[in-house]
Amino acid sequence: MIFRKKLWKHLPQYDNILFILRKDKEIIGSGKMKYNFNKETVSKGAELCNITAEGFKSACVTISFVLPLGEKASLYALVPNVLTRSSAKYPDITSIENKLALLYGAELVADITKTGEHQVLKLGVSCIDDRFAFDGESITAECSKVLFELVFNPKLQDGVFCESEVESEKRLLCERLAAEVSDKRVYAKNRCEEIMFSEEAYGIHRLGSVEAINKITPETLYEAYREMLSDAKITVCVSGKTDYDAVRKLVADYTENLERNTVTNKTVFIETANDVKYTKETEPVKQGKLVMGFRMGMADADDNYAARRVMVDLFGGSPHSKLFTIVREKMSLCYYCSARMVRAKGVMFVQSGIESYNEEKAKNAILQQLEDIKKGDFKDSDLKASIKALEDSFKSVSDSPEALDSWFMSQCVSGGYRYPEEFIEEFKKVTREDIIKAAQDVTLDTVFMLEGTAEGGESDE
Amino acid sequence: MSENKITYIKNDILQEGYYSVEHKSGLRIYVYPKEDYASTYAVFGTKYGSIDTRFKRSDKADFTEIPAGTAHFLEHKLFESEELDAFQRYAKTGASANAYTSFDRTCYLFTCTGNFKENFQILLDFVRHPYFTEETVQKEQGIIGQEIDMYKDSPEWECLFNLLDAMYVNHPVKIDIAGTKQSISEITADMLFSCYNTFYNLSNMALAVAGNTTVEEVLEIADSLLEADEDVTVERAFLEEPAEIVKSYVEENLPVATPVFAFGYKESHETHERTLEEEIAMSIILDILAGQMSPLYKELLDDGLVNHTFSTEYFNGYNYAAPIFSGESTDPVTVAEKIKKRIAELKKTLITEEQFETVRKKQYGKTVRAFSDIDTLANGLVVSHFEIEELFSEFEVIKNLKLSFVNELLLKAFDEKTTVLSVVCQQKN
Repeated sequence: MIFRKKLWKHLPQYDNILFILRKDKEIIGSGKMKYNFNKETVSKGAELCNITAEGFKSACVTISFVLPLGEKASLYALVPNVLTRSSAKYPDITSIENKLALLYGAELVADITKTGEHQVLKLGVSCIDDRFAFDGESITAECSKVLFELVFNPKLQDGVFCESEVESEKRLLCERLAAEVSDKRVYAKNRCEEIMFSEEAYGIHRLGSVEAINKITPETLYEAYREMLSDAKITVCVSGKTDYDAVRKLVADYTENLERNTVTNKTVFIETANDVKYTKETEPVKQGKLVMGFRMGMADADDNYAARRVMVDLFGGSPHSKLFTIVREKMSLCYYCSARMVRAKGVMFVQSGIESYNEEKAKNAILQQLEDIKKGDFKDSDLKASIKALEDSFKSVSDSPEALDSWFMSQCVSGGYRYPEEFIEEFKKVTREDIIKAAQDVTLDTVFMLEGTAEGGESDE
Repeated sequence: MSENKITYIKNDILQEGYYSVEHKSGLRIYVYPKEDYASTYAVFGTKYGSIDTRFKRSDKADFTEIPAGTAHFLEHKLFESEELDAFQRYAKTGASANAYTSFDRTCYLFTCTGNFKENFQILLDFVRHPYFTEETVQKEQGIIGQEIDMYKDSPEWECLFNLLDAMYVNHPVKIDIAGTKQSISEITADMLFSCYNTFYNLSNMALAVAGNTTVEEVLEIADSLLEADEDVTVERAFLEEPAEIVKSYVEENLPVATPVFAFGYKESHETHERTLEEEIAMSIILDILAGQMSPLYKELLDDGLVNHTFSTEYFNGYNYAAPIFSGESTDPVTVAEKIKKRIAELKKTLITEEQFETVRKKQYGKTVRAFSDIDTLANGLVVSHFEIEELFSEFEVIKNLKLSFVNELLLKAFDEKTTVLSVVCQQKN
């Protein structure tokens, strides 16, 4: 029954940890389910990846467009939303949703992410495996057709997107940005990124800004769409037991007439921070939020990644980490406190929820934990536990087609697709010395404090 | 009972099944093997949630009343022991562990891709061995107090509980799962032990494991660690709940960019709980009324009244039931009016055969997909057990559901006299 019922559950302190792992796209699906990854180039610069696996109950097909992250972020971010609102063949949201319902409740996704200084627009559809169809029809082939129709054959009015739909989607995108301002945990994190990367492209939000969204017109949006089709690196990924040849033909048919001129760019890595930037804001909320941004000493995304990843887990990624066991549990300074690494940019963030008057204490305690790791003050058993935890989450990648898609497509920017097992092997080789070295490379760049000015709960009165 | 009684329940559509074990300790154990999976997910739950505030043990004469938030408090405390807490123990074996408390249950869970046996032993051990002192209970009051504050900063959470508070006169579903700072300050170690001994009796619990494991492996450990509890059952008592609501509109001010709303219809029923058939029929009605393929959704979207957070749910449990529409809107009052209007129209035209078949197909697809997720499976087995349903019966119900039943339900439901609208918005200057 929980299949329909929302799980109104009170996920307490630990929720934070799972949240972090999931955000890293690392708890996703492994191991024994036999799967194979292959890629080929079909037509002009469209890469087609095929993850074949049998036995799953679902299958999925996604199309990713990789573009440089820049001032057009808002325009590009709006494109997937407008494309999934209507198409030449399905003139409105009702007809699209009706079609998906008849395809046994297939789900459409339009996702915008930031990978290093790239913006990745992903459109996809996921559906049940063909063997569950009532009349033996191919659901995957039919769903793929719907997806390609939506992406490559939009509904146009006077040669551009339909104005009322563009306006409606602009509002929706603005409200999504506004929701991130309302959620103070996310807001504090976003502000820290904005300040830390004010001189780098990475400082741009994946959805751009409200100001930029408001300036969009059907004309400028259509132009951005055409640019996306010509400039972006295009990767189509098919996962599960699917009618691969049918998808291959769709890719060839829909992309053969495109003018392709792929634009590439490279993410800037700044290895060391100079001065610490400090910013404080106040809000009428109960709990204060402290976010600290660090440079990790990385020259590129592969620079000693395994050791750094394990170090971050030991520092603040797991329930046995220093931030959780010492700063949160022993010192009771934070409601939540954890560290997260952004590999594609070579940085790390510590996010915590605190009583605002504990700001200095919390900050010092967090930095002290890092100092302790630099001095080698950590147990071998904790190091082992971190390696195990990472092994565990990387292994579970193969448990669903969606998870496999997520894993491999998170690497579509570089196109150097690696299996989770390869990373696990590297984690296993990480030594105590590697951890100390990785911690010594870390420098504090930015501190953002959101002070809560609302009164506490009822018992304080 | 001196022997385990094992039954295998198979589903023909999925071509897979699970084991239901009446364990000799008195605990019901479910094992859903998925040998191809890398992960295994285990959940150990008790039918004890935030609404269980008045109860009586079968061996006692009187009813006991406990402070709101006790179930959740106990969940926090069980992770502790005299030596290593459960997290520290899981860290050694490599598992991702968690726990949650809802209105009607408390569950402890972990997921792992290796060392299943060791992790499973930890789960059975810590849930069966409570440890707390007055001192540790006091410390926890501070931590949970902070947690309650944090939820007060969450507009959706506040909006839901404001709705329930305005909807229910007596039912404890109206109180935040974590309780209030006042109520948790009344909790003592003795009280926790008493609740533990009442609700954590194996006859009131269920254990489910899904993923890369076998029934033999699970039972080997269960046999060695689980001893039968004393023969005690628990009886719950609820105050009479009137059919009327407390008030039809409630508003709170919090810093939100777009106002958050929840709009619900309080239902009164002669039976305590909704059947699976009623739940599925209601979710089909809600999908046709306000789902993404409904004319109402398109109208609200085109008029700029809702965004992608708009959703529906049939909120229900013991002695409470309410269809709820929720989301973000700059004008929640108009949204509520349009929902009412659309319901009135649908009650006139009724749901057509075509609409019904389309949504039925969608429901079937969603049910099939749910069976690939071991998290959903393990939790689903525990919930089904508490609700005395069988996990696969959903397929049968969807297949056999009649449009006439759905339309009858539609005509009976949505009484305009019992609507509540809850809004969380920015303070107006």
